[in-house]
Amino acid sequence: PLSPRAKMAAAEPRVAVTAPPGYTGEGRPGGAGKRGGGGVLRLTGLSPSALAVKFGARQRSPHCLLVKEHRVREGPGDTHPPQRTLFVLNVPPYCGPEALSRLFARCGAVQSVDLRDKPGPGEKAEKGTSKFLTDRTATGFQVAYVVFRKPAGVQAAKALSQEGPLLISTESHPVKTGISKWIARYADSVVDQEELKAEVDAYMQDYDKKIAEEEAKAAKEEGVPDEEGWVKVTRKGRKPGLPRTEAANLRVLEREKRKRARKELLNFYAWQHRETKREHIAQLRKKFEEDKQRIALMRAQRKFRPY
Amino acid sequence: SQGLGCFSGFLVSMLVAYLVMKRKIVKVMSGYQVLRNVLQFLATTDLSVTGITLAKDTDTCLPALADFHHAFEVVFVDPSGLVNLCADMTASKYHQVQFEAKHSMEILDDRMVDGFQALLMTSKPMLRTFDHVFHLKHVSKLQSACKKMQLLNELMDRGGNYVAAALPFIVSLLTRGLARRALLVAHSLPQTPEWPIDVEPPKHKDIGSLMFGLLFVPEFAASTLVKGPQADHPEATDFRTFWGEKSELRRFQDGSICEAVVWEASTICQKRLIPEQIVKHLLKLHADIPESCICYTGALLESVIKNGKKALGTGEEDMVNVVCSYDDLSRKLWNLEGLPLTVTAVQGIHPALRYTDVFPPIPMKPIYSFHKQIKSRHLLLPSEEKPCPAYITPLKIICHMEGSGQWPQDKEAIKHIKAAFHLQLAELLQQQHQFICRPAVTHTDVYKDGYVFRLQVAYHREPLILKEVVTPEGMLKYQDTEESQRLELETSHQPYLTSSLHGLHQQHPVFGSTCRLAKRWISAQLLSDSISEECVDLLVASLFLHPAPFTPPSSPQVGFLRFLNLLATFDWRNNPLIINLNAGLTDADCTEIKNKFVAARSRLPVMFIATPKDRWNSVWTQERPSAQILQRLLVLASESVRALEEQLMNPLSSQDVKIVFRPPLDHYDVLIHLNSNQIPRHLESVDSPVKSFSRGVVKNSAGVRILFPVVDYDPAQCYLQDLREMCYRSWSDQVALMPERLNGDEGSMAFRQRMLKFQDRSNGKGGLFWELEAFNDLALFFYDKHGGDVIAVLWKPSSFQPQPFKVSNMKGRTVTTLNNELVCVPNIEAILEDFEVLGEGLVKSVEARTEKWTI
Repeated sequence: PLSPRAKMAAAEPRVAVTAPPGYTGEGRPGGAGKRGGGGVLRLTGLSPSALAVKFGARQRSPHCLLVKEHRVREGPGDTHPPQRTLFVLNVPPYCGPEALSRLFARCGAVQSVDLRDKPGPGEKAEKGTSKFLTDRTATGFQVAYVVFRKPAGVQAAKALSQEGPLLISTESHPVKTGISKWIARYADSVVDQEELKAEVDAYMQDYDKKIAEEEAKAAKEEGVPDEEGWVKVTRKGRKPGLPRTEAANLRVLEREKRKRARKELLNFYAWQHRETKREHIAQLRKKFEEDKQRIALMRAQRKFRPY
Repeated sequence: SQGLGCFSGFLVSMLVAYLVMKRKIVKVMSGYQVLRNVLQFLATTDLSVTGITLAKDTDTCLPALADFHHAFEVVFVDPSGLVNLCADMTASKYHQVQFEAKHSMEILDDRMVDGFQALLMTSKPMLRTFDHVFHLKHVSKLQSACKKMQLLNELMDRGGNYVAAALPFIVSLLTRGLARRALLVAHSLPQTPEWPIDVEPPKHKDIGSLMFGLLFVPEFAASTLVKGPQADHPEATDFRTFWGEKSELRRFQDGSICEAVVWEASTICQKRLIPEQIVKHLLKLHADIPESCICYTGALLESVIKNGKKALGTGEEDMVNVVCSYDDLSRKLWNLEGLPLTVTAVQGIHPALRYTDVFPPIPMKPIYSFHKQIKSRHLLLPSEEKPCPAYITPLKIICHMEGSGQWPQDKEAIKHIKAAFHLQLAELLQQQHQFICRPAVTHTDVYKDGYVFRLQVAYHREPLILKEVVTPEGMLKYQDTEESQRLELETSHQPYLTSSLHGLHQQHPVFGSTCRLAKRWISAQLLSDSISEECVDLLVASLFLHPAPFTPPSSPQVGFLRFLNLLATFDWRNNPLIINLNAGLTDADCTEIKNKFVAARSRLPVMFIATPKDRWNSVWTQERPSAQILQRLLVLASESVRALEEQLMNPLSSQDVKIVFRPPLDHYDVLIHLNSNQIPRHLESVDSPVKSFSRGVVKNSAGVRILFPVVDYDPAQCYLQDLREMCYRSWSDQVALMPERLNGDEGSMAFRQRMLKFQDRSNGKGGLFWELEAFNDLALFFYDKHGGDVIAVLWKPSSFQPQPFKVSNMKGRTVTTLNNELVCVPNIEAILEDFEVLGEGLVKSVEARTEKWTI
């Protein structure tokens, strides 16, 4: 009996990869894959498949990247120009932007690589100007947008899969994983005090300026009617308005309700009388049902069973 | 209630008859009143001093009660006036009954506990009742004990039954020896086995082993000194003969010269074992019972919380040192000059600061040559060639700053201001107290006395600001967000818990050790990441705060056994576990919590723990454990408690208690073996490793001007994090689940109901996790963070189902056609190799044990 591992090796290569429409690639030359039990499979080297990538030469089983031309109707300002962008699915965690751009460099000069957790427009990292205060991004399987300088790069990349599995980590450009990566990560986590201080100071100055500006603006607008004649009531000034919070709203509503209840006449009309009775009976029924359930629960809970 | 000299049902009925005769019980009383009266009578009357009789007429020719007292230990005379019903009972047994009666009365009076359940429905095996238990392996040794104690008369009275003859004397000997330490010395009843009519009756030595239980007074149980009378008093000789050569003359601080016995013990863990020394010494001296015959189980489990083989103590002293250093630091923080705002509170939240860290930090100083040095920034980095440096835990401390109008009201700005505070704290501490500090955005690390403290500044309004949401109409709303909840947990719940449990540890000195044992067990079962540490702390705290029907544990072993039992038997589905920390809940509150719990059961976490500060949310069990993990935990706990008690009850076995700390690995799909030189906490593993590596530190706290050591760097944890991120599957599933979790609509009810069914299905060891739908991951990873060298992986069964091709489904999957439809299935072969790639240098081998992925 073979160990699972050995069997795995023996059965290799058996992953037959196909690509869904729109995603391109060429079948990795390989025998007909076999999937036990399912009766699924048959495959020829001709059928289209995705781009196979491996970490290094040592690994046997490749991952498949699915590549596709990026086509989205979007307004200007989108960072991924439709003609020149390649949309890549299923990027393994150890494959960073550098490695990815190196992979696709053979198809044409790469302008930028954008790795994301999920596809979609999403805000570009314009906020991430701060080096320190951004959260570390997750490193699962990601999607990437590779922007080439020329549209030809996209076509070349789509045809790339004929060349067998690509290697992410090569001897000339090793990708750090494991211990060395963690040590690097630890080293990165140590911040430079001076730099951090400068950044925080700059940010706080900006912030203070912003706040001061807002305040000045509010002070200027205070009590001055706008073009339609409305006056904005703020919490400041001689006649402060109510704060617009949920709690304050609820309080007002509650007060209103009480006021209305005081005014209302109870059991004045015949229909009111009827309705109260009906409600009363409905409530009794509901309570009865609830009690029944509770007793059933108590009975189920009881550990003491003398019989 | 069985065996020689038991307090049997017959005796109880006679006692009730006596009470009826005395008109203490009358016909109209209910069963509960009768029970109370009997308990009351038992609790208040000592039959070993004032006997009672059922005989009505006082006949002068009958023996008087005094005569009975002369002949027997416990006196309860039958109606004829001639027979003592309690003839075989020892005084100790009666005292035990009396103690229980007293205790039961207290429980009945306590309105917080369900007296019926606790008193009449819970069994109290000796192992779980008594703090220390020891066995007398061979009762035949009692024969020589009889000889030594000159008990020939008694021997004849009992027809040569040397066990029955010697037992009362041995117990009274122990009671005297443990006078101030033990509340109760109890013994098991000798059981006479049945035998077929045609064979020889069994000998006295065939009754198996005798078991003794000790219940301690926590204040005195561990004192090293027994002070006797003054040397010139007549009692001094008596004292000397009792203790033998151990007794010596000592001069005390008040000038008196007394006889005294001093026991050797340097650490707290050894001190807990002084009763063992006493028992062994006394039995050898007075009863001729050699030490080899006594099998003492008091601290067998403690070896698993000792760090390394050579460690003497169980680290309780280290914990005290940490707390001292922390106190000093907090004082210095209070008095720090030059901060724009004053510090209003300094609160520790690390488990070591509440005495419940499994392995408390030890002061350490790094060896430079072992690390890569970066002199310009005064710090050390782990080096790739050397084994991984020792793990230094940062001790987290929350430092609350005074509120002021100067605080910005915007979350980004608050973060920046906090970063500025961290920088300034570091600078000031360095200037004023010469500590070495390393500031970062979210904290400042301070190296002090060989420990690393992680200071975190908190602003009390920040959670509120994080909750603010402005609706489209411009209304301000407060909504819990993940970030605000986490912050609230850190800055308000954790400090409160830490300080309450710190107080609890002062009341019950073994609380910490019990907690550590419990946590060690959970992490040894690879489940430490699936249940929060605070949750375990609270579970253990409940044993001390609501011990009924037991007394609060006074030894870690009994505490641990009860913890396992609690886990295994508590009905999580139908009951909330209410823990009354600092007595902050009244019984009205408890009823309210229970009622609300029942009403909202389907929306609450599977494990619900309520404390005074957290009545409706059960913050520590919100996320973890899931129903599947809890189920697994319950099964493991009941198996462990069974195995452990079997081991401890059998004095003739090897008593290898570590078996419950070795996890079963055969259920897992993949095992990832790790290189032990890259596991910084390898020494902490249950079975001490054969080979140990230098970790580049010396135990020393003297360092002042040094480079900052490597803190919080554990490759195994980094690896786990990477693995989990890799196998964290699709975000779209996650989004789909969110509404279910937020509002309690029908769908979520059904979802919860399904999760709650777990307890009905406790069919034991068969399948491991039945319904893993609740997880979004491709696989689950399990690891013992205390030096485990294997990561166990469990594939989620449903993830092998081929799924229709969607952009969101393509994570680590490959596309194939099934019946002419495009589907994607996980690319397991590649993922297995990724396991190796991701953990390069750390992973020794990846062992796939099942081939579930082939469909």
